[in-house]
Amino acid sequence: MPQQSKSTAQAQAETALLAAEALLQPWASHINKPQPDDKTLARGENPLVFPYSRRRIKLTGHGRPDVLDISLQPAELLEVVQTLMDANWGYLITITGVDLGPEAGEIEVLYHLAQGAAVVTLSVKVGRETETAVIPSICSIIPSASFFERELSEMLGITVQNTPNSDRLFLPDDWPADVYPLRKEFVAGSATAVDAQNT
Amino acid sequence: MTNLNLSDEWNGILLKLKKWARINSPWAIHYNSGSCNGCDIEILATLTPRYDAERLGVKLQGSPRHADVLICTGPVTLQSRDRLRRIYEQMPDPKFVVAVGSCAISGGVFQGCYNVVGHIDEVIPVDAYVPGCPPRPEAIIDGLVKLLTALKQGDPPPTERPTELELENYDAATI
Amino acid sequence: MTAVISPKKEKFIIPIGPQHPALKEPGHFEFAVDGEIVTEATVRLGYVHRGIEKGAEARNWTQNLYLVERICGICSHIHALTYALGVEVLAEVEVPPRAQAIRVLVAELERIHSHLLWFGVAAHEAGFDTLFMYSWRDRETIMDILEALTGNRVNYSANVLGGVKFDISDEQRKVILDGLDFLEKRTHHYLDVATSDGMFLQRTRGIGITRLQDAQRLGIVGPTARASGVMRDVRVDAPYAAYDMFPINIVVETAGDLEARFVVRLKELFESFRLVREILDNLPPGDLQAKRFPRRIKPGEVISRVEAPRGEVFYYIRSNGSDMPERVKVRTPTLCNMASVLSLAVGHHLADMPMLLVGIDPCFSCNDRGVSICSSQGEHGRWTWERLRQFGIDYYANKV
Repeated sequence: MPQQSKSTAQAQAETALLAAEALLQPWASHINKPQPDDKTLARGENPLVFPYSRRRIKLTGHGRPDVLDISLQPAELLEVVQTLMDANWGYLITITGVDLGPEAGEIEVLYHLAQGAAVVTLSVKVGRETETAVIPSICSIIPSASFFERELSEMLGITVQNTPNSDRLFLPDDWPADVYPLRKEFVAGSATAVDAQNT
Repeated sequence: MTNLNLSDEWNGILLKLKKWARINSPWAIHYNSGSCNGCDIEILATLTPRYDAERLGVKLQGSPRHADVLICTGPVTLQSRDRLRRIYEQMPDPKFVVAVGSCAISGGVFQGCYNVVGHIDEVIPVDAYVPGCPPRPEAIIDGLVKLLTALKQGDPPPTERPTELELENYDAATI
Repeated sequence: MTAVISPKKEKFIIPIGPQHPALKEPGHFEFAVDGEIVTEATVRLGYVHRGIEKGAEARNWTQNLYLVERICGICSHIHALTYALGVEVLAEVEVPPRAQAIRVLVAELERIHSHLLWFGVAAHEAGFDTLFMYSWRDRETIMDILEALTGNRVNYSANVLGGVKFDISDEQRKVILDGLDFLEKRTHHYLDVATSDGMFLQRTRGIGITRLQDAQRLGIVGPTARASGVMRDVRVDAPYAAYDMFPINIVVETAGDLEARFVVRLKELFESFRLVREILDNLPPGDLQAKRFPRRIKPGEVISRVEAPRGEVFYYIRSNGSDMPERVKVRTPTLCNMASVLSLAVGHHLADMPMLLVGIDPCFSCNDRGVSICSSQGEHGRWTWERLRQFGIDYYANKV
């Protein structure tokens, strides 16, 4: 009985991931995944469920958890999300912003979508300057993304184009306008440091 | 209260009566200024049948204007700092503050987080501290009883809102 | 009669929060009302925003376990579990099955405590304080069990990186089983009350209906989604810890109203009772902790998903090879469900708001000594009591 439940979840995840990969065929070259070598193929392993320890993003859980991550340009984002949503593939879990630091000069924005155990992560990199830190809003396709986009813009200073509401969500009302706490250069000091910046 | 033009004797009786009432039915208000809910559910548990703080006359109130005791939980965040001050100022004198939990006393695990101002007594004066992460309901009741006992025995803590300087030098251990 | 407010053009906004006795999370809501009907709802969060995601970047892997445990006091074990599972995958540490089973055991005990807590608070919002007191009295049973197991009532600190801290003795086993027998009896009673009490049903049946499509569109998670017929439960979809050894049956209702949410949560309690008993009977032998856990963790990224009592908790953890994480992203279920409350609120009576927000109870008059008036043209003005009073005086003076 336990064995059966595990394999059902796993089989569903594999199917879901195959479907996602089929949908993302036009962008297949962007998929970040080590190509299975001839040995793996000779063993008859499904290239999609390639050992997860060799994928970029790992996943907790049992069996061989399935994750697919794909790097996109900001301009391609809407089309990809639209394709997945049109096919009714999964739901948006959240949007994560990661500041890669001043040296890299980039902020990575990750859109996590899931269907069952399968997770697809869309990775979009934007610049750190005001003009380049711009990403299109996906609220027209997924309305529930609004909160996540508000969080993204206040925490990392990314301008989300056409988002329905760009008000502050978590930060206090008197927070200084150009201080973004999740940027690497922001030192996690106490609030008095922020007060000092404020006055 | 002093403008009633009562004789000293009557004033004394009135004061005794007020003290008796205050000690026997302290009405409390609860504000979470950044806590993790752990202390808050323990405060709620304090009011439920197992612990039943109402037998001591403690009643949780909705409005700061009806309350004698402000029970604070959590470190103070930037956003709730002004709100906490406002609630404190809306309460009628004399008023007492009980800080519940490690975070309310010292900032706890959240020390150094950017949105945390610090502990409760950096913002408002605190009369009693209840340590624990979170404190057990018995500890919360104990804290309240200690506060009430102190009121019964000695002079009540300062009822005027202290100045900024007094706030800085406020020594809560005197109570 | 110059400054008369036309009811058609102006909206009356009722601010709620952030302080209230039954309010456990201070949020600030503003409901625009037309008479009794809510026409617009907005929320302002951030009163308890502490900056944990940034704070996590300045603490080492072990310290963070205690930090994330204090994200939420109600589902503290779940946060620590999600974090630990993720870090263990990054560090490539195998956790012994006995530890995984004990983790699931504590997670299910926590679910029981959380659902009973919610049930009481929801009953309180409905004005049914007797039920609130009863359910919290019974909840003390589960608190005793958790205390007997872990030594603390709320932040159990059961997890360490690579395993758990404690084993289960025969005495503890007996305490758990006795407690569960009592709770199971009581839960049958509560289910009976929640589905048959006429007064209670008036507050729950047919209120706040979320249809299946809406639940999917809004990305609702957890029991709220399952009450609308969404077959989504991370414990079933992507089994973690020991949920592959001890599978759970998904509880789904289709009505989507408040009653269905009560039923789903109460029926989930029976699943939890069953699972806890099953784990106690079949606890796998072995160690409690992995032999060794590295201090530094090699670079990598991991996604960790766990079903909390309120829905799916999501962690994204990124390591840069040092002893501190590069980034920890936490998505809690409440953020997803908050959007649904706001969209549901429109068209409902103001009196139903507490029930829709269950756990977030309004305090209408105490705090905000200012009335906010917002016209349909989008003009925003804040009226003080003084201005409102003057307006009233002028209005009646002009009228006479």
